[in-house]
Amino acid sequence: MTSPSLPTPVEAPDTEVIQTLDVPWDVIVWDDPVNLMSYVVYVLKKVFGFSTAVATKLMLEVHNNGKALVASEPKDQAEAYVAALQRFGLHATMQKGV
Amino acid sequence: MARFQRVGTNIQCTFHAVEYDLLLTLYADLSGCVTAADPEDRRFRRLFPPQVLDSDAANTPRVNEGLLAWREQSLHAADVWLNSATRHRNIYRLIVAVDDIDQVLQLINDMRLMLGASIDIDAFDRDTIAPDDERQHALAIIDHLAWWQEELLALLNDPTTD
Repeated sequence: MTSPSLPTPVEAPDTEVIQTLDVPWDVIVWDDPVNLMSYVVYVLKKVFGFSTAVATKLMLEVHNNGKALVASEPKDQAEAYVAALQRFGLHATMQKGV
Repeated sequence: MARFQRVGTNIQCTFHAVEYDLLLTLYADLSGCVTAADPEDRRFRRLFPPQVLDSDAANTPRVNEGLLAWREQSLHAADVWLNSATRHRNIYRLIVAVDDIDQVLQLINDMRLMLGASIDIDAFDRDTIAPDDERQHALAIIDHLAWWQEELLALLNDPTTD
């Protein structure tokens, strides 16, 4: 009787790398005392293509809670959104999602 | 007299001489702030906030070069635009294509942000400062520019003017 051959080890995927690639980045807009509410709505519509209702809801979230999560995207897209928001003068940042 | 008015595919902007002088003054201040690119300048920091908020933030360059280049380009365009004004008595008129109107909105907003940062507007409640407080002057200009922004946004949001 021959002994069974050992299974060929399968190399485990590098989960750390995969997780890093998959983790979305959150785009946050922060409240500030200068930007007008109407201007923030205009910018959110312009940058993200939101409807007036969605943009207004997010603007009020910024106003009432101090910040709002406006998008969760792969890093490159999040960077593009933050850059566009900052060009309009909104206080926008991004952070790794959880 | 409407301050902002659609004329075909353009928007005509009308300013009193005093307002036009104010625009030129604020433009010079804004341009100086961006050109100096001093990270210690509170106004500059407001115009160029960090992109990333997490443990990597410390590795993020303090000055966002892409945003800096974009603002320098916008300021150049604004300079050309401001100097294209035509004057009739005490009234200055400027024309901008509807497609370029965001640049005007951004310029006015940057001026407001700069003024707000100059008086550290985050650090106090404006309702609590005295009428003769020196910060009231900047606040009055911020409000005046806000009025322009509101008028322009109302025009852009008015479907009947498309």
